Amino acid sequence: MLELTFKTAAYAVMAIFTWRVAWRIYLWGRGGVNAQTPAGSRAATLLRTAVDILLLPRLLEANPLLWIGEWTFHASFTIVTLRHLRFILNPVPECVIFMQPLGVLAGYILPFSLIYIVTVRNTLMRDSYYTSSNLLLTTFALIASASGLALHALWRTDAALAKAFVLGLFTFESLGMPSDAMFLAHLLAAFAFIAIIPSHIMAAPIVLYDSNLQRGAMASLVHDDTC
Amino acid sequence: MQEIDACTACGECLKHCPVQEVTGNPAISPPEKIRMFREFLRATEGLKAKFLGSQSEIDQKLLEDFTRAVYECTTCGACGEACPVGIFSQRLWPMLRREMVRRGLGPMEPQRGMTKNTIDTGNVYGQPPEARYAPWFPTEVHVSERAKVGYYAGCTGAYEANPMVRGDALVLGAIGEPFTMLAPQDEVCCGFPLFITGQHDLLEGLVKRLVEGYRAKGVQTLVCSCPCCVNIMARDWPLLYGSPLPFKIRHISQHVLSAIKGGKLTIKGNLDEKLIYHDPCYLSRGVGVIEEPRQILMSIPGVELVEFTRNRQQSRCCGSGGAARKAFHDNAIAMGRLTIDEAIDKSADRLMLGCPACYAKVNESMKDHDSKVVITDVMELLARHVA
Repeated sequence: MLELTFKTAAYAVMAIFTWRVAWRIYLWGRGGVNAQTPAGSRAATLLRTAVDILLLPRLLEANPLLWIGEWTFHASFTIVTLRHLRFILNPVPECVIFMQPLGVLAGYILPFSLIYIVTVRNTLMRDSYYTSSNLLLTTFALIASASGLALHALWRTDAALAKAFVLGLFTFESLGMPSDAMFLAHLLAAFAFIAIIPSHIMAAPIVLYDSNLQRGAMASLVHDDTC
Repeated sequence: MQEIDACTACGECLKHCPVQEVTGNPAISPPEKIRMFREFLRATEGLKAKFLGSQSEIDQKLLEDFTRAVYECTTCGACGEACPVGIFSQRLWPMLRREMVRRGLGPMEPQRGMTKNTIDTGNVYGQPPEARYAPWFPTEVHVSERAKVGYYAGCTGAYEANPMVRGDALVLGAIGEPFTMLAPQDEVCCGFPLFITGQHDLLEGLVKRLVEGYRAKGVQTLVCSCPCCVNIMARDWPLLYGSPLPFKIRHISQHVLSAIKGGKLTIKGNLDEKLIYHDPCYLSRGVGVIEEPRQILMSIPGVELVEFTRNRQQSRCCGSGGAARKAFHDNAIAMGRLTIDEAIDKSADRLMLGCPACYAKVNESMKDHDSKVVITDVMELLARHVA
């Protein structure tokens, strides 16, 4: 019964996530072209965009204090997510095994980076902006990361059974699942987070690329060598 | 749409919004406008709306607040400049306005006559074409029938900021290079006010008419007085025209600086004054013309140039942009006065402007204001110092 409930929840979350991605792609495709801008160098733009995504330099320029928390959060979240590949891939590749220690470290940092972000935004920022979506997202991320940390440090679960549950989702088999509260809380928080994962993870890289293209093209928009 | 989705709601833009600064209204803030638009889309085109076969109930108050917030924005783009994900807000807000017009929710009352005025008179102000040049164009400056350089005065300059465009004409005359202009009834609106208010129906026709007009006159470089004109011409005209333009677009400051550097324009006299230059939003953030006006001012002997705290691409809007200066008069006056006050705080003798909308509104802001400063356009000043 427990496994069935969580399997249903997992499939529902996957369906919601897929629908949201498909809907976004549909809306974006319908958007059309806003303005003609001369094309800049694509390779240079790609490189600048990669740097923008990896290091968040625009946020560093805008708010160095917030950048510390945001960069740490995004980096540790990415590493923790990659570490979870061990539950999805069978056999587990060498590179995933190799990054496990880094993943553990990232797991310890993740919840504290969230607490740092919330603290900075609510105490040091003169004009802070918080929506209910922000709040929900942060809450689920905090629960998921804190419970994940607890699962590693305090209340170890049956990792093999956890993997069996995940693999069972892809093979549509009933292979069992851990039933300890901390694991279930972790899974529920992760499901909730995935269901409401912000659309900016898809859109921001595209907009950053476009922004870099515009910036690169700005120089030639009304300028040339003779002016 | 991608930009709507890219917003992380980090709130970094809040400290840069000039309208938020003077109104304190959270609904006008950039992330709040984006959030409301998402709500609006969800209510009109979301899953529930689509599958239930009818539009969901949309809170009318929310709709009114949202429409007002979208149009209250000056589209200065300061929020986008600060945005960690690079949202090009100077384009995003006009596109939202286009959506509001498409749905019959915009534009604002004072902006509704723009389309009809343009059809009737060729300009959004409804002013007679015969009065476009006559009141200000210096009779001693010769305009050629055909020339490689064309000058586009622009509606706001021609009808609301005469000293500015008069300065342009005098400086162009002093350069000595032949330039041409369209006849007053042919120099119609560049389309920017219609574009910025979301009223796009006439754009293609206006653009084609102007481009063909300048092409027939042999123009290879079109020099514009107004940053907004430069912006739409450089960014949108090729798309609206359907092919690359047969001429380059340049702001007057670029053309004039080139003439100074090339020895075609001699600066005379002295000006022992401290000048402060305000970067027009559509010139600095819009097309990256930043140093040219400064270099022109510094070419006048004796000038000391000081800067606003927020300058160049970070410049603070003076309140005149986005076609909001008439629809939201009080906001524009308040923002204009902040610009004046800072110029005075910096001990400037003269506030230099480079945009006709800024020129008109900031001068108006000063009328009943306790603090006064001399306000001059860059070309208006230069015209007094050229041979």
